[in-house]
Amino acid sequence: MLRIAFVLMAAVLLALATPAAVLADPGSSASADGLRADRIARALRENPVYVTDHMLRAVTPDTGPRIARALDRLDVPYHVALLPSSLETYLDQEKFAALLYDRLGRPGLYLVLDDDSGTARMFGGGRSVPAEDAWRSAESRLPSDAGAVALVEKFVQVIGDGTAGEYLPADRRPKSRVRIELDRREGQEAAAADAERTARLGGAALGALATIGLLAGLGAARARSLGKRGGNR
Amino acid sequence: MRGTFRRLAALLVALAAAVLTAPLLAPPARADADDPPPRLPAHGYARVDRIGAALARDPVFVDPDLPTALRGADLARVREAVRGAAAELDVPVRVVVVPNPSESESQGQGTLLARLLRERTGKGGLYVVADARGNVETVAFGVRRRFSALDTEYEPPPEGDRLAGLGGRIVDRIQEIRNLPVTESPQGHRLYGRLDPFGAEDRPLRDVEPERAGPFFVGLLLIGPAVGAVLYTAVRLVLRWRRGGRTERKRPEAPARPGTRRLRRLAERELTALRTALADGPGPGGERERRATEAFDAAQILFDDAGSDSGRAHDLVVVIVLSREGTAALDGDGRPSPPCFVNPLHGPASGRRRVRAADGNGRRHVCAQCADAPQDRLASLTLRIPRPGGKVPHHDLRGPWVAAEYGARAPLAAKVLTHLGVES
Repeated sequence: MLRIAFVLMAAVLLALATPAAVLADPGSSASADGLRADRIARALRENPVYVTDHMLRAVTPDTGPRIARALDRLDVPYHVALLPSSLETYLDQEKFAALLYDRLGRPGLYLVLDDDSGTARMFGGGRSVPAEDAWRSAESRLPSDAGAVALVEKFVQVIGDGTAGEYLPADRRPKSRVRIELDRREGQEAAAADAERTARLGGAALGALATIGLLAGLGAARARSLGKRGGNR
Repeated sequence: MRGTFRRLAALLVALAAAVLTAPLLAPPARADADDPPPRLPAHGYARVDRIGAALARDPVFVDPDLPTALRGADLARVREAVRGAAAELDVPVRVVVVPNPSESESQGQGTLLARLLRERTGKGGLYVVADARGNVETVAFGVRRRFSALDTEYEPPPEGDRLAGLGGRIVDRIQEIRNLPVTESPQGHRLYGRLDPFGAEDRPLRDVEPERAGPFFVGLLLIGPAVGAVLYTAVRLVLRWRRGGRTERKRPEAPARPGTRRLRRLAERELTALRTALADGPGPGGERERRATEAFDAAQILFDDAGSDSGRAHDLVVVIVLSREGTAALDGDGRPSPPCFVNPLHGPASGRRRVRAADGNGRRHVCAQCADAPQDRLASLTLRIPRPGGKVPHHDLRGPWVAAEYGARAPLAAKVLTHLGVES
């Protein structure tokens, strides 16, 4: 009896645990990221820079060649995937870089980017560059909307300078176009509020003066007419 | 005068109301939603052309970037539904499953992607577009169905895995359209929405221009007049208060129908005032002081003599008159004029008029107010003395004070002393 109950419990536990284990495996070739990595790895064998066509408004046609030209100066093998930041879920760029290395099996520099951010990792042996530090350093020196090409160019420049460990503090980071626009707008709003306050104050002063003058005139006229009537009596 | 003021106030209120409501009546700016999609640069059609080429081979397109969106049995069901619908509707039916971020050529709008596909492939019919977030849009170009009967309320994609059950939802949407009432003429569905030209997605923020006119007129017509009126009223009140304080000192308290208690209080106050004035003065010696002292002595003796006897209200009137004459004597030379005969409490007389009294209608000394007053007002101005039977006009009483006309016929102070037997 006890044995039957134990077997049943074990069966239930196993049934509960199995789908979770299957879902939790990120490297499974059945998962969306795995299938994507398979396909992009195939593309990267042909051309080390893969650029998605889902973001044509943010990624110009010369993006791929310019990124390749910049990375050519580094003298390390590189593989770049520029993908939308969010597909069916948010794309974890670091994990995806590891996945790409797993599928491709080639050592070197892996960049996974979207239109305004990204991640850089070195995998395998051989010649190496301080990829992660240089990437963070490059990000800290550019406005948040600089774009993928500018980021990669700054990244290469930082590695060339040997200043990969140096970061610009957040308050000295260049402002994005949106921030600049908002700041300009804020200044305009403050100036407009100021001008409106002055106008209201000026209007109120004029109105007050006019009212006082009117009332004083009326008062004087009444006093005069009263005085005249009193004198007649 | 009041009419003018009221008209002016009405005008001000009307102007203020006009200024405040004018911005509400301005028509709102409206953009036409049904513009044709703008011409994109050549590279902007790269993805549309890729999808179009795939659709030419297979009416169901699933982007390789969404490899798990439609698979196996789901994909087979969708293909089956597409075939069935194309046969029944007699138009091409196409299903597109593709990520569509807001940076895409169609700016993340499935309906606009369908219109771009139709523009590039030249093929109309029914398009079903699903994106990576599981949103499904249906767009129809020339389909013989009455789309106004379509229920546009759809269940949102499941929260956790938004692509779960996507195949089933696409099949349901195709089935819904198949079930719509048939029309004779082909209809379009969801052909609206507008696309920004490349590079013009972020419109610059509108410049903020200061709106001076509104606040100026609010200040001019509402705040200013209110502040002005308050200020004017405050100044007038302060002026009246200060002037009122001064005139009160000038005009003596002169009730027409006082009670005995009030007369005693008034007499006491006037006596005290005279005593203080004498004590503060330069001392005895001058003519002024002599007459003031004389008046004070007589008044004080009469006041003490009257005591609290309620029947001697008339004597208290004389005490008040004497005390005031003494105070006036300190301030000026010459014999003061006798008090007003209508009401001795009115103060010194300045003219004469006929007054009807118990001892005849003689011309008596009266103050300016009583000299001008009409005959019928005179009765109410006349001082009435409280007596056991009621208040009676003071000149109806027999006595030395009326006989002396309160000093007009004989000096009052001497009369008092004689009357009380202090002097003979």
